[in-house]
Amino acid sequence: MIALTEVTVRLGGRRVLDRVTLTVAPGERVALIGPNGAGKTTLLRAAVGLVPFEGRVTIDGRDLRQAPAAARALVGYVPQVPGLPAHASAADVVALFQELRGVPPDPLTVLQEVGLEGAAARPIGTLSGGMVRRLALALARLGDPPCLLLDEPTSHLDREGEELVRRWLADARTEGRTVVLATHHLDGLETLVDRVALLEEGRVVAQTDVGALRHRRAFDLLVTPPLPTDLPAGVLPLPSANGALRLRVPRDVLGETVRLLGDRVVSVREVPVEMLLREADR
Amino acid sequence: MREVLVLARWDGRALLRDRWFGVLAGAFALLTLTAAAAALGAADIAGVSSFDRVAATLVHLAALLVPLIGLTVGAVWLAQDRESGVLELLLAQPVDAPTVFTGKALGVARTVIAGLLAGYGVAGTMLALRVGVDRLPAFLWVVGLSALLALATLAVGFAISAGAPTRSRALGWALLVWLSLVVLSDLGILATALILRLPVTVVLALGVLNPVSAFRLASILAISGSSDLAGAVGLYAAERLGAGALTALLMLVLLLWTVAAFLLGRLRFVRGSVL
Repeated sequence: MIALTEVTVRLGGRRVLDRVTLTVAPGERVALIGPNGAGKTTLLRAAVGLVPFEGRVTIDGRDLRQAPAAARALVGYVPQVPGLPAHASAADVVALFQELRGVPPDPLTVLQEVGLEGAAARPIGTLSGGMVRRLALALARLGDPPCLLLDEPTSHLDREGEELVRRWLADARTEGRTVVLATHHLDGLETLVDRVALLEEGRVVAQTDVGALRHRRAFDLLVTPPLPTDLPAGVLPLPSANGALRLRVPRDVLGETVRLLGDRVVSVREVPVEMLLREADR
Repeated sequence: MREVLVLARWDGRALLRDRWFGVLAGAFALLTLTAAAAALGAADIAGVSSFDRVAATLVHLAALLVPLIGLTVGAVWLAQDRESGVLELLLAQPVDAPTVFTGKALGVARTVIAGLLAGYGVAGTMLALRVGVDRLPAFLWVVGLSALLALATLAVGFAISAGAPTRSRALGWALLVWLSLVVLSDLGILATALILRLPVTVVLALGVLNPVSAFRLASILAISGSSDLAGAVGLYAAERLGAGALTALLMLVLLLWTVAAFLLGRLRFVRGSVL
């Protein structure tokens, strides 16, 4: 379990995280979403003790401030931009991290898991961004940590790499692994997490379980009047301007509504997850 | 402790691949060899003590280059890892910040000392072949004092690096400190002494508190066996304290710089952010 209690982080005189409390149960997978600068990356960094923070962070009951090494032994972390020594080979880096985690060095097996066995001897500086990303993912799983903190885990990855992340996230559920991932957009990851939390200006402003979120998925339609009287159940008129009308249409009646409105539909836009979260939290 | 050794081994090897260190260590080896050859050649013509000439040349060379190596290598080491994101990943492993700092410092220190020994080894071998091994202990003293100076300046470099956000800023600070210790310090003390009419004991203390001055003075005492060539400050200090006590004091100064700067750097590193 990962528990952040009243965590505040100040960087450069600015309050980047503001009394954030977030508890992730064992085996739960949580996605942190929010705009740039919301504090997602800082929250993950605080959860692994990479930035000075006020408040309390515990990993499976181990206090990060009092026993940082013991707490970090339970966490695999993938930063947004993985920094690895450019002159060292991929195999050497894996061996180093295995030694630091007290795991017998076996870099080739680890590299095989992420399809990098052919690049074992290559200096990291010659690897592509996607390959470095895969290597970082492999490093995060060394020692089989019960918690994973992933910052934008699918960025810079090709389709195959994305599939790998999705498989790992799916496996995390069966393995009982706790996962916190930060991402700008869910991009289909909502099927692989249990809960979504929205961060804005350093605060968790809303959170809900994915089931509820899926139930609320909806579209905003811009239509020209007049409206038919027999709109499907659940369709709501919204405040509008410029003579056009706006409708909030649940996903399951979208097709029926569009057919009914015909060419009066001007535009269709999916309601952003952030907005749904805020509305769900009210 | 195991993690400290793992990191020390890793960073020691990594420094061997570092281009900046390669240039500096290569320059040191080349210059010691050139200086030794030139000084030996001159000795043959003039017929004066060739060992003293070579050793004095090496001391002056070391007083310039060893702090430059220690300060710049130490200052960029953590800063470049911070800038590239290596520290972020490293500190997310089951190691605490003091372990990372200590391991890295030990690894770098080991390689820097090895580089110094290699550089001195070339000159020492040439010296032994040409003038014999009678004065080998004095030469080894200079080598040992250079190693102490390297440790002291490396520790200062790491203290700079511990809080520097970028490699370039760390390098800037390191060069400023180098300039202050090697060039400006003596001039500053001289000017301050003249303007403020400082008592001679204060001038002495200010003089020997500079690690580069301490190294230079201790080395000259080791080479010559007397304080005659140690300059006005050295002569006065040797008369007041005795040559042996002065050498011990100067070595203590170098050790104190090492320990104090290391602890300060570690504190800055632990309290700081990896960002």
